[in-house]
Amino acid sequence: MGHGSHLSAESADPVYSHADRIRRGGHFHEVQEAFWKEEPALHHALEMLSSQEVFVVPVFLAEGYFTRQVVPRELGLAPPRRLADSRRVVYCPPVGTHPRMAELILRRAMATCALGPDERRRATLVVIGHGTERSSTSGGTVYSLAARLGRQGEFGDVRCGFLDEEPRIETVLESLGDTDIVLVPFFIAEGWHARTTIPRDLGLQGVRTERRGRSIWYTPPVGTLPEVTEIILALAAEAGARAHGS
Amino acid sequence: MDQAILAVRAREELLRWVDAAGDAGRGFLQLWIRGSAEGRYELRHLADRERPSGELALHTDPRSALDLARTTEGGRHRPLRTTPDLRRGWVLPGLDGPELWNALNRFYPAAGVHWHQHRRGELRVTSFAESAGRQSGIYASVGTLRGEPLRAAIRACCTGTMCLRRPAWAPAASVLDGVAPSGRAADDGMEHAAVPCGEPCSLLLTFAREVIRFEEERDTIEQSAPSASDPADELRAAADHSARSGRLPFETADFTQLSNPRWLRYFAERLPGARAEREGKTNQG
Repeated sequence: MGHGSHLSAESADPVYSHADRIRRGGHFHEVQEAFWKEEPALHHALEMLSSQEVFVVPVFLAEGYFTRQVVPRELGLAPPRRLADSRRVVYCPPVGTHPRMAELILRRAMATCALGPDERRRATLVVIGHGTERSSTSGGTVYSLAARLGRQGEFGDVRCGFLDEEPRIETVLESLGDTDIVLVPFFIAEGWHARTTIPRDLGLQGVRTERRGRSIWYTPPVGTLPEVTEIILALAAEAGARAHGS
Repeated sequence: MDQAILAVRAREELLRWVDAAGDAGRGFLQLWIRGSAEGRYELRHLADRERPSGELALHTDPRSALDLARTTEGGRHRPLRTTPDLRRGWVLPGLDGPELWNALNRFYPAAGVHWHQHRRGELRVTSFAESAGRQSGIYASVGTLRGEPLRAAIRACCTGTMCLRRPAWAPAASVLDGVAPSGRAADDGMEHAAVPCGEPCSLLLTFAREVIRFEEERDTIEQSAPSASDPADELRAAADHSARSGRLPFETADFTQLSNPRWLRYFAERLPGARAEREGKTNQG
């Protein structure tokens, strides 16, 4: 399950890629993509499936408004339950909450910035989350990942900033001293935000921006890494084990 | 009926329906489906039915249905797959039954199930009020859209030139007359699938939200219509022409563009006189 877009085909690409890898791997009898803003629509997703047990994995990064409210409601899982259905539907946590996400953020940061270990320890890693004023939990996912990355000590400092809640990413960037900065967009797709609004609002010039004697690196989003496919499978397996009581 | 069994029954009924048509094949929205004696199926655009296969791009991987379905010929995103702008010029042969079903769900998600439910009088229908009423966040307001603006929004988005499905949920007063589902020859001697729409789509809900904002500045309607002196019929014709072209200079759902075909149709519905004209026609009928 992904957000999708009315305006950009690229937004759904990562969900299709992850689904295709799962399909090719033969892990499940059926694999169905569905989206909030485009077809296949969330509210028709379950109708197409003939399996007796369905695992729903939200390809969202935050546990918040979409994963707690919109997706369950549109799938007909939230009360009042709209489906006359005898099968078991297991609703899994969103991919962003998986502990391995910290590793993927670090992978993006290391692959993009040209900093050695000592330089990294003087640099700041900034995780950019969407955030929302509509959910108090949305930013929490990003905060806990940043805390975990801080403890790992690969970068001197680890911060987070948001598009739609405080602290805003612009403010966070301004507040940092003269250290080198690596910005990792904690987003699923190379879509509207990751490709357009964030670079525009922060005045970035591609992958590396030189500003006031420091380098600012901007990595591709985390959600397009192929390892996210493994996380989707892990979330389904873990939820399956819980559902079957083993 | 149990959902899991439903999907299986729908697939079986669809395959029987196609098999029974023989060489003539069946029309499914903008697709032409033809079965062979060997139990294989071929898909192509309905308008390419008469073209020799050699003139069409051959696709051998059933998964390519997704790439064909996701963008228009002009490369634009198709968030709603039933907009009548499916690209032409390809053929997908040699599909077995499950592959045909999967390809169909990629071209028109869940349409096969809805076709089956409709044939049995079992389509689950969700009204605009119910669908709009459960929305939240930036869409929380759409449930407040009522009366003429709602009717005009439905007529703008759900007419045959904008979407191939017919809304089964639309109130009787919004029934769309005079526009046949597009892209189909009048007398092709073939049976076409009837695929109703059981629930307002995300595009309509988004358009409804824009309409609410627009109606708050109701007085500007005549100034905003690209050519207020045009009769409503000319606006509708312009809208339908650009919607069918598959070559819009902006995305289908870009409602910031007042020349979006859905806006043009909306203006046509809301121009002074359009309502009186329609009611006049109804009275005569």
